[in-house]
Amino acid sequence: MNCQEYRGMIEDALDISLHGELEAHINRHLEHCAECRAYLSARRAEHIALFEGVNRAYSHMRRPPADLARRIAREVKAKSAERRGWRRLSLPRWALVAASLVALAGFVFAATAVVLPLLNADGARGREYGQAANAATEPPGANDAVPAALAAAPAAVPALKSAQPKSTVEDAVEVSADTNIVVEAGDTLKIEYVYGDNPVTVTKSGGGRLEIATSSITNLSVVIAEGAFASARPAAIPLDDTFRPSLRLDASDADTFTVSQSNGTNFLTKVVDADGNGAYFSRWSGWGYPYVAAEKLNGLGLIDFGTMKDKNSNNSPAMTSGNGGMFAFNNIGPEGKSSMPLGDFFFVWKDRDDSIDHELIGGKEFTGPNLLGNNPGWFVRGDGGGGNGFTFYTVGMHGGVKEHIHLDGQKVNYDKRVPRGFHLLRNRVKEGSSVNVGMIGYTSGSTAVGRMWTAGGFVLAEAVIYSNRLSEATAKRVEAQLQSKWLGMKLNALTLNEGAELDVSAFKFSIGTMDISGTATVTGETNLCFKSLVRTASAVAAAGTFAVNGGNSPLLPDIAFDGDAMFDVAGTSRVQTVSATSDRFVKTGAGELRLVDPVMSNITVLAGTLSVSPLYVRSAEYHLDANAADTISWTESDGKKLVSQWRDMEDASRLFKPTSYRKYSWNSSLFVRGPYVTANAAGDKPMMDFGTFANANHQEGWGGCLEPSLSLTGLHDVFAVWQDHPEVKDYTYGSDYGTDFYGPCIFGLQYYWFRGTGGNGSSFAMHHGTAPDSMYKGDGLVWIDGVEVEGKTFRTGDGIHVYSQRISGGGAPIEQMGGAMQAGVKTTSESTSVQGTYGGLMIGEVLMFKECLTDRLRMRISGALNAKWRGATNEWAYGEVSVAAGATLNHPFADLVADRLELGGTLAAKSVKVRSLALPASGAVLDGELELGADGVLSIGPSAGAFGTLRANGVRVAGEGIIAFIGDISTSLCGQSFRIVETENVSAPGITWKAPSLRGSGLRAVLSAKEDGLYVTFSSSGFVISFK
Amino acid sequence: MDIGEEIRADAERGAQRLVAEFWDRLYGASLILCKDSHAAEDLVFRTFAQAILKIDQYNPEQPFWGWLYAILLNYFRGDLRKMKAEVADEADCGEIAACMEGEPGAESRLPELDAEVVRRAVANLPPALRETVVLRYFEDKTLQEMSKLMDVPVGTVKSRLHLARRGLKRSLEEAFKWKGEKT
Repeated sequence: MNCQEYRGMIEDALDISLHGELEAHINRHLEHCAECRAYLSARRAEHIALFEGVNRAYSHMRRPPADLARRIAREVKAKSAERRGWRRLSLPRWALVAASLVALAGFVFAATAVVLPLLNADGARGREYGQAANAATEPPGANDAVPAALAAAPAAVPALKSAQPKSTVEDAVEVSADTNIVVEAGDTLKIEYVYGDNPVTVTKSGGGRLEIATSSITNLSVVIAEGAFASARPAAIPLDDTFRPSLRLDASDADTFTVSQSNGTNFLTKVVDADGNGAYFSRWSGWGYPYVAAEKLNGLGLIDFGTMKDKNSNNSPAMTSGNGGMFAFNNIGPEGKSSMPLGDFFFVWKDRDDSIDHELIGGKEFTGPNLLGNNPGWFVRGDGGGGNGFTFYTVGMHGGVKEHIHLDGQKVNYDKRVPRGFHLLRNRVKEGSSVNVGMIGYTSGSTAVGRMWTAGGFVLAEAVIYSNRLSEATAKRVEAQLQSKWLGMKLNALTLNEGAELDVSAFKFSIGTMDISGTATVTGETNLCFKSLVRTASAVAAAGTFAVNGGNSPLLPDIAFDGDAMFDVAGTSRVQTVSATSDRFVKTGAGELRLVDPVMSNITVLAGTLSVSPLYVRSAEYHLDANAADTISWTESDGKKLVSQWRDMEDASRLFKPTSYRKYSWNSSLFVRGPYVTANAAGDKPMMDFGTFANANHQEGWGGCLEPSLSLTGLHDVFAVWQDHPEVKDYTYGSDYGTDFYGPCIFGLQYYWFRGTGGNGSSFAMHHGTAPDSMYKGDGLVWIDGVEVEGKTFRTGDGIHVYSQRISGGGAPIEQMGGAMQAGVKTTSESTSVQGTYGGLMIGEVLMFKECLTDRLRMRISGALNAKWRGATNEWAYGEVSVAAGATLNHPFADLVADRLELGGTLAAKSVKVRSLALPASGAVLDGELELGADGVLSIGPSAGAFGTLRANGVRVAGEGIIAFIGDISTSLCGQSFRIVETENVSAPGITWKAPSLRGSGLRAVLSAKEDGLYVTFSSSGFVISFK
Repeated sequence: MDIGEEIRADAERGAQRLVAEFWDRLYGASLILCKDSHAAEDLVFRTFAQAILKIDQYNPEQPFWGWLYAILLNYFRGDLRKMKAEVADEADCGEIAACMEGEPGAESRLPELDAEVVRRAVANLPPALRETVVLRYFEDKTLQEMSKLMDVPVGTVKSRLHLARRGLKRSLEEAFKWKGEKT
């Protein structure tokens, strides 16, 4: 053998073992061959380097996700669900808890992993369906064994300390007094369920991580002195005899769905019981299917029952086009019935905004979307609509259902109105009640226009239905589990000390008052819901931005609050949705906070800037604005600014560019270009000019067309501000063309969605008769300039218009749009010859949403576009608005209407209409027109210093008004008394002066009415208040 | 308690034990195979779930790890097959061929390789070669064991290993040199 062959053997040997003995004959060779020894040495070094390098590189990469084991168990459960039958099992889980509490007595958490047994082994046989185990009378039976066992443990837990090492899961911990928890660095303590009767504060210290999944303590406050605190995904409702529901519909459990795809929407034809007991939900004949919602709640999937639909649609024209989804349940119990006894039931749901807002689109008051209905109908929800929430139940409903209603953990009356957003209902029916053909989503009721039978109108997260009544302890735990799972772990207050870390990536916290100090950090996805945010330092995130999204996005989470809420914002943050049922939104901090479509009645800006608009688009695929020059790239060509890119306002990676369909497939002579930016195309705003038509027969036109860089599928609501070129409207090319000439399309598919005929001087119809049905059927509605139109035949007339369209029915996306959507394209036949044309219009602004917007938001966007581009009136109403000195409120797209405006800082609005205006301090700036309402009051002072200037673009007083000086103005102004020394040219009859202390000699007030409004000028010792 | 018994007794507790005992090793291997952390986590997730579902097929006389690992490899190969249905096979062959180009410097030293550099180098290898890297350098399997696990002849294992090593060394050459010069 030669050296080469030995080296091959050496290589093989190394591949078998790096350190083991080489075979004898190789060793013999090596003894006398220095070169091969060197070779072996080098090779071995190499192998070891790789071996160690790879191991270093891939070991301890990261810790497993906290909930991995649980997810695996869930997956296993789902996959093996079919194999299990209708068996209920009893597991001695509380024994485990009790055992762990022995350890608590020593104030040390034992490292025993106490895990909720999610899976029940087959074999043991527990309570069968319908069997009333410890039901109606609630004796201290098995259900109450939990608290009893726990009560035996020390009532208060002064200090809990995690033991060595890693991860410890505690199932249930009673905390009945203020408690300290120590979790050492490197440890994780997860508490599945915290309960107790008293308000308590839990203080956590140590460098480790504390996770709390659920809690039923009404008033739980947490202080994180150090280390990490995290929300945790709560375990599923246990399946033992105590907790196992008779029927459970879980929208987050897609494994239980049977889906039928239609028009791009996942309709649910059947949903089986989430615990695998064989019962199922299916559509009630004659009504719509619910579908998988695009929206998620706390990261979990939802089922959308679609917009409400009236069966006798003649009673409410506005409710003819809804989806009207409805489920009835089947195969209940061993006998497979469709009825069941009813005890406690729980719902996590929200009424759709378009139901709540229904009156806004022409509806009358009607009974709300029902959660659990009966046949014949009772469990009827009360009246609502018109922007108010629905009450729970009507007065005349079945008496047994309305006595034990809990909403979000609070007992409420049946006539309590349910605010917008998701809520948790816990209810108990009268003993002996049952449901016959249980229906989810069905209701009936009479309205001003007659009897209505409706379905749909809400979004469901989970329905948990028990055939028996639960003990209070059990019901509370189920309630707490649902609360945490869907609405977030509930805390009264959360304080993060210096260096503490809050991780909200797993699940949502719902926090009353949140106080973040010093270098505390918030990481993870945006899963926060709080009423009040108090920041005591600016180091929460880089660059002064409150980055609850780990710095990846400037977006704050959707914010929901009740009562007065204070937001202290240091940097620039944005909130997509603010829902507040009442009271005041207070903005502090020097940063800017942007709110999209807020629902709130009172605004106070104490510092920094608050911007309010419907147009900060998060979920749109595109928001393009021809006014935003920095979003447009162009090259000079033919003396025009030829557009090469038109970028999204929010995300520069989304953009439109000149179409790649440079030449039309059936006519290669047609040349298509990009549009160009007009300097002043219409009015005072530049638009994107797509040039005159170009097609094969008349190539003199420009023929601009843009296409998106992204594939656009599943669009729901689209908006565009556009204008048809007049010369296109007047177009009468040759002798054969003109009258049946198809109009310039705003959005086009490659072969569809073209405008209707026009030309020869008339404007174009909105759509051609062969456009896809999804444009017109179902919810496929078209609004022009804010008014709903019959899209196929409506002719717009000249000028700029605002186009708004909802595509397809019941939230269905239209797949045909995928990748081929283009602006400015028009592809169809002229007369008898098939030709494509492009161009023929100008576009000012475009918004496209994948979400189905609420009617209110859609109308607000449409209103804003109408106001911005067409000068239309667009009013947003508030109760009180207050802007402190130095603060700014931006309200650019709508007229701000308020009962009372207190203006010390700057208010930028299109116009401001107030009944009363107070100027408490100097330096007020109004960038917009001011209109004081009839009987309006202008209050000036008291001011701690000099009056500055209120600048307004114009001031008008409607009817009689009062200008009143409040307080002892003489004291605040240079210690003198003042009087009006001169008035001239006052021609605003009806204005009454109330200036009791306006005496002295220093102040000069001049009121003058000019053509463009009333001018008031005061001057004294260099202080000037002037309206101009 | 034996892990098989524990899984049979209580799936969630079994899942917890699987995660506690095998996550690190399995995730490391999975990451070598998948290159991206999400795919790697998903692969481990499916492996664990499948192990629980199929626990009855586990022979307690065999090492549990080997059984678990075989599941991981099966899933990985299944994923590859699905991907290859969409991507032309030539790509893979091309990648392997690319590793054959150029011979690294004859003299090698014993550098401490930077973890990130190694991960990048491994990620550059085609899937079949990554598999050999896992087995040889992460799992310390012998050629025979590899042959069995990969279901290819020993000769093929050897040639793949050779290619993998060459590919790695080519990617790591800079690191080798740099570290070498430093010492």
